[in-house]
Amino acid sequence: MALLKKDENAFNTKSASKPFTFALVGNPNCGKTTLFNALTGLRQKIANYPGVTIEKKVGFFYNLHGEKCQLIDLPGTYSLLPNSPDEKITTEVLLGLREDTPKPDAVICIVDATNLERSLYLVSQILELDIPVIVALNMIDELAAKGWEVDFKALSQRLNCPVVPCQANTKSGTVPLKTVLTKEMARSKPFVLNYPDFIEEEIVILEGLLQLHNRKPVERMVLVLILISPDPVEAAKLFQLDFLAETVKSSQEKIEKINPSWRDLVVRKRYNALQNLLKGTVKKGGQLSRGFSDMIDRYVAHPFWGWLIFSLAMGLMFLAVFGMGSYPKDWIDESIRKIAQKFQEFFPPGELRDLICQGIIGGVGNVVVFLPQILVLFFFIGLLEDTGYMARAAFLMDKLMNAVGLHGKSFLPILSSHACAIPGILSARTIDNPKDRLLTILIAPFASCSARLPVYVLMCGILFSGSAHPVLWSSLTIFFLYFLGIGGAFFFAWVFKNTFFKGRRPFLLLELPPYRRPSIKSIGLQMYERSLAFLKRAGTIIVSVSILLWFLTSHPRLQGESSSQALAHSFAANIGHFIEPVIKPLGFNWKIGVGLLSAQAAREMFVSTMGIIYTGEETKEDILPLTQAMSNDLWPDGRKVFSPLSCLSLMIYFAFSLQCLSTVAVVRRETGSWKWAAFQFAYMTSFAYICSFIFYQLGLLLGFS
Amino acid sequence: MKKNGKAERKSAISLAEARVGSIFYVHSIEGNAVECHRLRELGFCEKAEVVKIAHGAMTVCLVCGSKLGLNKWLAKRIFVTAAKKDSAL
Repeated sequence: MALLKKDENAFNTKSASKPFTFALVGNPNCGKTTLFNALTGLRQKIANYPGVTIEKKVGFFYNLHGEKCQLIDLPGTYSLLPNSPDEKITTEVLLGLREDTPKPDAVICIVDATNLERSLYLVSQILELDIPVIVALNMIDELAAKGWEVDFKALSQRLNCPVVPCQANTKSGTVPLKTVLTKEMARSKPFVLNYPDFIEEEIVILEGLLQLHNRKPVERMVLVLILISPDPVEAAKLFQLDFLAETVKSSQEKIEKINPSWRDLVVRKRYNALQNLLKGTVKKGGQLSRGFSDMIDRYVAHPFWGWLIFSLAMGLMFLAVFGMGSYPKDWIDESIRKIAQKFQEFFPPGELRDLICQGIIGGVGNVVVFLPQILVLFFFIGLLEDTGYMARAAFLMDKLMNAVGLHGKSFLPILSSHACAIPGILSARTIDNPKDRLLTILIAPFASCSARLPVYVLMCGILFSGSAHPVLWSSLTIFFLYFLGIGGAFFFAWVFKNTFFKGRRPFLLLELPPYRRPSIKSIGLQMYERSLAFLKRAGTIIVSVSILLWFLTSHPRLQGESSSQALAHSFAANIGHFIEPVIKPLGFNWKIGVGLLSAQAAREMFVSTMGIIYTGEETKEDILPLTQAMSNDLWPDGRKVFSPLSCLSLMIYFAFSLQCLSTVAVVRRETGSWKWAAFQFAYMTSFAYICSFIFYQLGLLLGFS
Repeated sequence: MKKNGKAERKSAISLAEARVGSIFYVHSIEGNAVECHRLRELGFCEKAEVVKIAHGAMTVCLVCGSKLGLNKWLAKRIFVTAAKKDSAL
């Protein structure tokens, strides 16, 4: 066994200032990011379902000698032969194939202690790469709860690498792990599996071909991976050994003739070797199933009870958004108006007072009031993620999604898009088929993101202000709008699948995480991160655009003119009047038009713009609540601008349109082309316009107002 | 030997049809090479033990100690034979 000190031999090419690099690898949902957070003190998102980490994350920690070490958290994978873009990142980093990431000096393989056989499949492949490996045996609390025992020392001897038990969520075991990481890093004795002669012969041929091309020797495991790959061209390209592709193809044909089920044999051999290795190291109880968890699964997977549970969970979530969120919202709203009034009293009339009261407070304040409702939404999403229900919900939706040609795995990106389309689009990386992935990216922004919520809440406030049950009606309306978004996504998925994304029917296979008691700390942390991001956005983009909008809505101003007089001939009014003929058939006036234009930067800017326009219009010192000011607005013929029909038309427009520049930029990055980003923007905006137009005009024809 | 193999293939049923609460052995998998390889890597190798836990919107089974959910379409492509053991649940 070759012992390598961190500053010697294999690592002596590294400069002293460069930190020692560890990669954190493991199966999806085995606690990699939890351990990453525990070691680095960072707060990366964690949740109880597979596929949360879709990109490598880098953090630093200090070992027990006080040396700075770099830790790379990698997306979860079951094998070194990747199946999706996120898994590809893991393989590339481990083999040092990425220019932007140093090849790790050692690998920390995090393993679910309750699921050793499956987890060690990947570990055994990494051990064959002949780099120092440390196995962190996570979730030992769940192991103990099952009454199972693992002989860590025996396992360490058999794997020929350190094995450290830990419980990442409580940070237990991190000190022993750091102790191991501080010691000399030993190259694990290569774990080599020998295959039948007819396979070994082909591996030798590939090794010979490498020599022939004067290439430096690669790990035997890499050659095995290319050889067993169902797509050798793609695999050879991934490992940067393109010249092997043709030889591998003919090798596969030769092997196929000798033993048609040779791929099964290769995988089975590894599992058999692992079963033998584990013999005597794990003491299991007599329990084969997981009792209570299995019973819940029978109800959650049930065609009737499953849907009932899903509908109740969603219904409860939307009721809570209004029920729980409306009180703090009203309180913040009242406080902001009081602050604005104080400024009105404190400053003499003039540009500065208008800028503060109308531009900044009117713009940002009207967005910030929605923070409590967004937080309640994230609290519920966090609850569903932490309990382990998300993966089950994916299966409930699968049948429905398959009917429109969507991949079952698209459910998680679509669901994530309900918080924000950007992480939703990024999480489409877990989908292996490129066509299905692109399809998911194209339809994901239909999911009603949290930026739409302020617009919906504002419109519901106007619609149901006189109702006896505003909370109930608002909840039902928003529940309907969320379904409308999903409906739009499904409709276009069906259209695209039957036109330019024709392909095989996708299958869904997910590892079901155990049901766990949700961690309030983890949910709280997510809520904190979200509110920080929301307030940061309010303090940067929204405040800048609000100031610009205030200027456009209040200038040019003649001397002695009131705010509402200035607004009537302002720059914004000119722009609004210019586009009014296009939007009038949807029931929108020029002020809404200005709101729609500003919402292209970010959807919540619509609320902010309404705040600036309608607080700017008030001539009295008393500042009205925004909903009241908007309700009072009239068309020249005396009709209400914000009638029930136009409010609903506006909500429909927001449900379907793509109004987020960041989303457009992310789609361009993920698809690698402006073509798809532009196509998505065009079709979603056109569809939103057509739907609002039909709804409003049909409503008028039927006698509604 | 060949006769036994044929008899075994006849007795194989898809995982979708398999009885909830029983233990089975994987007999074979149908589908394209990429999907079959991923299934094998997840533990659905020939002769691997599978416990079927639930059936409905998804088929839930226990393979290599981990709980996997499969959609109906996929469960129809995994063929299993009954293990000579009593119910696992």
